[in-house]
Amino acid sequence: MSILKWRLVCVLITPGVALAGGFQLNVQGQKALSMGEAGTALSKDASVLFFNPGGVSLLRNKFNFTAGTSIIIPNISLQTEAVANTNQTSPIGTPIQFYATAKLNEKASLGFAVNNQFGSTSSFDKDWEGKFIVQKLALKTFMYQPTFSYNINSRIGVGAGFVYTSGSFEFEKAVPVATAQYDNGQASLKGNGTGFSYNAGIQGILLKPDTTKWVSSLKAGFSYRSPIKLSLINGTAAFTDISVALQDQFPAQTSFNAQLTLPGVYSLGLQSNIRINEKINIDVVIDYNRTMWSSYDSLKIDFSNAETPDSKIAKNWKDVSTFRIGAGINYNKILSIRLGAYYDQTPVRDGYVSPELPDNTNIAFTAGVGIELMENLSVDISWLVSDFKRTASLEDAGFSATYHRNVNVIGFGLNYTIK
Amino acid sequence: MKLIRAIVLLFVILLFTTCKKEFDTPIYTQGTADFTNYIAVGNSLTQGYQNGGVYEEGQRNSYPSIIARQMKLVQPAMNEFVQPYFFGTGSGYIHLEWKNSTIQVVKPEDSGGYKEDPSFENISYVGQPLSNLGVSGIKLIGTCADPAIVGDNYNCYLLADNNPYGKRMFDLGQPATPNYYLNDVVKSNPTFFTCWLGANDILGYATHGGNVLGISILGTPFYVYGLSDPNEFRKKYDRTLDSLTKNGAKGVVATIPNVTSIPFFNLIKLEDIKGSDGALLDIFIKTDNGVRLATDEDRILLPVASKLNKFLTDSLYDNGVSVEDSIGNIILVYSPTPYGLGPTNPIKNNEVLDKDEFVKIAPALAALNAEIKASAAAHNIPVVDMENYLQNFESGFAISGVNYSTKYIEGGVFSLDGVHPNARGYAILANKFIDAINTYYHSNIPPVNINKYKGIVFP
Repeated sequence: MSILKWRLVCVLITPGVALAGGFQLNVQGQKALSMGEAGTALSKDASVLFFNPGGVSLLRNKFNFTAGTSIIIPNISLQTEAVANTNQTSPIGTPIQFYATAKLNEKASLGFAVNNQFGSTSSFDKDWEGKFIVQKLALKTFMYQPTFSYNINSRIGVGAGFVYTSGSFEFEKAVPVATAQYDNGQASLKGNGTGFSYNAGIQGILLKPDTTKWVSSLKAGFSYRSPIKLSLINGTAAFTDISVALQDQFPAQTSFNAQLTLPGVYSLGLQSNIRINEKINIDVVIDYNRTMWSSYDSLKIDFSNAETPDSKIAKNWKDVSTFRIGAGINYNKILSIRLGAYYDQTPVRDGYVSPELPDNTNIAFTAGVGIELMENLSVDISWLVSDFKRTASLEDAGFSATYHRNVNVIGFGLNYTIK
Repeated sequence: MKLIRAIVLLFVILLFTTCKKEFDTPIYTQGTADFTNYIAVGNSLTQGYQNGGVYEEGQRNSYPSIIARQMKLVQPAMNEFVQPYFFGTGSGYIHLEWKNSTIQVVKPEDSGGYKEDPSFENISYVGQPLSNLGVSGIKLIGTCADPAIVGDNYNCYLLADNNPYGKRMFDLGQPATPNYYLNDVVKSNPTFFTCWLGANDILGYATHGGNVLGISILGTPFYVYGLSDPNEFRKKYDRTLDSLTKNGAKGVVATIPNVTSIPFFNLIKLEDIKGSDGALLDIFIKTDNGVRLATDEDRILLPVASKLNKFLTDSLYDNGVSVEDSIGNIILVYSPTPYGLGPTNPIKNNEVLDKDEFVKIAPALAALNAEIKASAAAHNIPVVDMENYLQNFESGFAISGVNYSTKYIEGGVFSLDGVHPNARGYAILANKFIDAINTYYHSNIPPVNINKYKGIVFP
């Protein structure tokens, strides 16, 4: 007899968990970033390890080191019919980059890269309107990429890297069950996971450097970074402020498994150098990226406690294109002023836009400077701004809002070379 | 120098673009409506009845008080919205407790129940100006008397006199010369109103299992829990709207929700009633045509659940005796026969809405809602189609990250009485009213953040 024993099938994780479009961090090299992040055909510093392993063997110096960081300053606000303004309380993000390459001989090079290719931390006040969708969502990834590159001849370099990813995932939301004491329960999930993938590319010199010509060089590049299946095994889930009557479903402590697939990316790029005079020349770069976000069709969280309802959230993202263009004016080899822009399609369809990382098709602008401090030491400073508004809903959760996302990224990089 | 200038310029732009990108609070407007004196007219739903009673906390979350709070943002100078608070536990109400590792529904009369508050007996708001005129139990046809109906003024008095809330709020007059509810409505002199009357003209019939309780007044038969006659309903609805709009007031009215989709009629399913061996048990019901086995088309009312449950958790009755009944079925017989489990102790007529009674509801509902819409149209008053809106709830719905349904307790929007919404449910209804007001009167009253209101309160 079970009339009075209701099984509460409260949907624990309502369909809100999104690691939205912005969670690919396109801030992996300061020179490229200043020029619309179009780096597929560039081989100016060791960050080529990320953009195109094929270009590593085309670097001039024997040893190249690049280290940098980006300071991501998000300002994300949203408006609903009921609440005029809610600000995300997301912290400033500081992804890092470290790249090192070494020539083994004329033909072969080795490299090692460490960076944070995906990640985001979005947070809100605990009691905000959408607390049952998300209060905090953080994804951090560290990629470690040993790389081998080889120039087939003086024009063509190929390369490939093995990528080991370690990631951490943190998710907090309110559970929609109240007691006299608490307006809602609280769920907190934390997990770590690893994944493997590869990064391969080819760079080819179409026009060899020729200082007598107006277009003094032309280079093309193609690279592919494979998708990363990040498995979060045995993460911990904690439920607090839960009614004594519901602790079977929402125990103080249980564990969970989840998997999410970070997308593969195809990139195609061109770089040209235009010579103005003896002292001044201009680099022009264009890139096309295809990011296979359709791999992110759902996010599943399986709890080890049988009574806790598992969660499967439809994401239904789509593959998207990004078009990048940039230019850098180089003066007498000691100063570069760079500008760029890119047009970035959003993978998030209408009806799937979640408040933690609203995303929209947008145009971002970039700028930066490069200064040679010494013959073998240079510094790059970059800046990126992206700004958009989008009115959209997360249909499964019954949540609609107008979002305003403004993101500024300031980056610093240091390059050291040994001849 | 060029370099320094470029860098300075860069940071100036940077500073400019990192300013907060917040949204401004919209400029609120009352549109063509005047909320100076907002009056709410209606029944228990309007009074803020939940969990089987009226008490201060519930009243503070009544949909009219929620609407009034939002109206105040639009028109800060509006009158204070006055509600007749029943303090403490008020009339008494149902709550949940955790006992013997199960969730138990504790009624006011049960041990440990939240009983009627001592202040309830002495409280009186008679003669005080009230803004929320919602009275639990009131029928639309009880709001005024039709001179064409013999003894109708007695009916109205009886309806009100039987009402534990009405007599604490209004001067009822004398049986022969009652003071009708509509007189108080006129006196309230609204500039704006919401009117949600009519549910009890159907619900009373349904919650009493189609047992209409016939009495005779001056020789005229009168059915306390009857389904209201559409013609009489229309006449009195017109009079209600005449009263409300007399001084040019604007407002909205709402249709009657489909009462049969509420948990009160849907919690008990025959497939869930099983003996200790897991086998389905036969349930007997009393109908107007005698005692018979219950079928899936009969709706056994929610209060029966605790009676069945008591038996089924009581080991005394675990060992029934199998016998063959008159038509050759093997049935379990208990001694004494537990409630509902034998033809000698069937579920009472007024605790089951049997299939013959159930089918009368849909046409009655359609007829009364058609009259509401026609009357409203004749008075140029917009209609909130609650019947239609709440119909959509049956298949489940999500608002701001929470999934709801019309299921008892787990559905999240109905209170423990299985008939009335809980605080969050009322907030959802308030937003529906606000939406209709804004649409028709070109105002922009902001809806409420419903997640600020509690749903079911677990032990």
